[in-house]
Amino acid sequence: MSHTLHREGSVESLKNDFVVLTMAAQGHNVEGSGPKFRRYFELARQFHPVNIGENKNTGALPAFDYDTIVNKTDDGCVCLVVFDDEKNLIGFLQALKKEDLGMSVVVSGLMDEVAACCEQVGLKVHTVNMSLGVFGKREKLVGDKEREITTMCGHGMITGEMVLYHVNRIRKGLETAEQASESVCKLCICGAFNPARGAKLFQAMADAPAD
Amino acid sequence: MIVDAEKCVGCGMCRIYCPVSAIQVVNKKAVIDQDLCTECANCQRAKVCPRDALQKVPLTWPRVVRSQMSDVTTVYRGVNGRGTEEMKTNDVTGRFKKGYAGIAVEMGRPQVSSTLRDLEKMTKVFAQHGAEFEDCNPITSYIVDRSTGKIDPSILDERVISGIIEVTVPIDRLQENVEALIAAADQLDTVFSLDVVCVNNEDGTNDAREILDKAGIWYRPNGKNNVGLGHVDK
Ligand code: SF4
Ligand code: SF4
Repeated sequence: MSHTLHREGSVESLKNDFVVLTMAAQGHNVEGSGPKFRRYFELARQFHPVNIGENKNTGALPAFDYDTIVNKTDDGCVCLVVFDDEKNLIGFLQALKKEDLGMSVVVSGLMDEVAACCEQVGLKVHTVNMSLGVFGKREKLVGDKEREITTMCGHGMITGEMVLYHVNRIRKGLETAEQASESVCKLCICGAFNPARGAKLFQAMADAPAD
Repeated sequence: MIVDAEKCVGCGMCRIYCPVSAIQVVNKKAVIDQDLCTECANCQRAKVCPRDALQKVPLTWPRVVRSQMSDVTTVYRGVNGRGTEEMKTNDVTGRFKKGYAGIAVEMGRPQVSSTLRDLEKMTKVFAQHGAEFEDCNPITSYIVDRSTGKIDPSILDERVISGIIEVTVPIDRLQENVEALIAAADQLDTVFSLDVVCVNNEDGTNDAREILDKAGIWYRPNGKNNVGLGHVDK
């Protein structure tokens, strides 16, 4: 499952987009992982994540409040935290290193930038997963601009048509880019969607001349 | 997913929530193309239907494969979602070792969907190039002959939002496999996203990245980075 790997967009727009995931390894450290995950979410709180979620017992922030997600997290959950700022990522990594929860942590983001953040806190990237892009019948894909938003839910639950529907509503003044972003964010039940980046992308699409 | 025609008022609200455009409104009633529908349940989960007309029906083999591979709320071998731990826990499991690379072909992603028949074309490419299929992966469990990559024939017409084939190859066969997969892409009626996994060296360099650079194979600047915090309690 690589649902945070294939986010599309310019380097500039991906600069402030970090998904930090933790999970236990079956047969190794699942038992007793629940309290560690709850601590993980608690540690993240002070670094102002723009989204958090787990898709076993609850969901993500717009649909559930922070405390409910934390309290319902138990053994074997996959926990996601999203930051839109490098400083907060660094702070969180530092806190995780100090706490030494023992759970695996994966940061999705610009690889060289993540490596530099790790270095700052004395961590080393252990393993990388690279995306070589999309092959085959690319004509079946939704438009490039829509994909910058839709690929933030790697499971494909935010559709291109939905993005265009919201862009239209923003243009008509029926909702703001932030409201549009929050609305589509609710469909990404793992909490991988970055609503702050989404709002910027929605605004840019709404400001661009209509086709 | 089916629509209760008695309840449906044809408002069309559900239509844009379907990732594969399986819902159409015909004669003021929503109709779901059952061949296209991947049973992902997104339309129902979105809770946009004012009449609660979208209904899940109990699925039997082989159609149940669709929901197993497409519904985000599926649990597979203790892991929520249809995927696996892959490199996410590699600091604990050591699944990907030095001298090897992981490759994943994410059939149908992003959001195009794929039949298992198309997916089998790629498992066959892997089988021809010495790849080891990942044991703990739902797609591997559908392969009936790992030496050929043949998938259970009873499920070939099933459609999934994405199906992830995961393998390991010796690092010196990485380029050959990637090139073979890219060459096979034009046989498909869908898309796939392609991933390469590799352990970093002590100095922060990465053998797979170097091979891709040397071969002029492009990769995105953003990726997934296991930051080495996992361990089993001492
Ligand atoms: S279950 Fe998924 S694929 Fe089927 S109609 Fe609903 S949204 Fe579309
Ligand atoms: S949202 Fe409900 S009532 Fe409206 S078209 Fe879809 S199934 Fe019918």
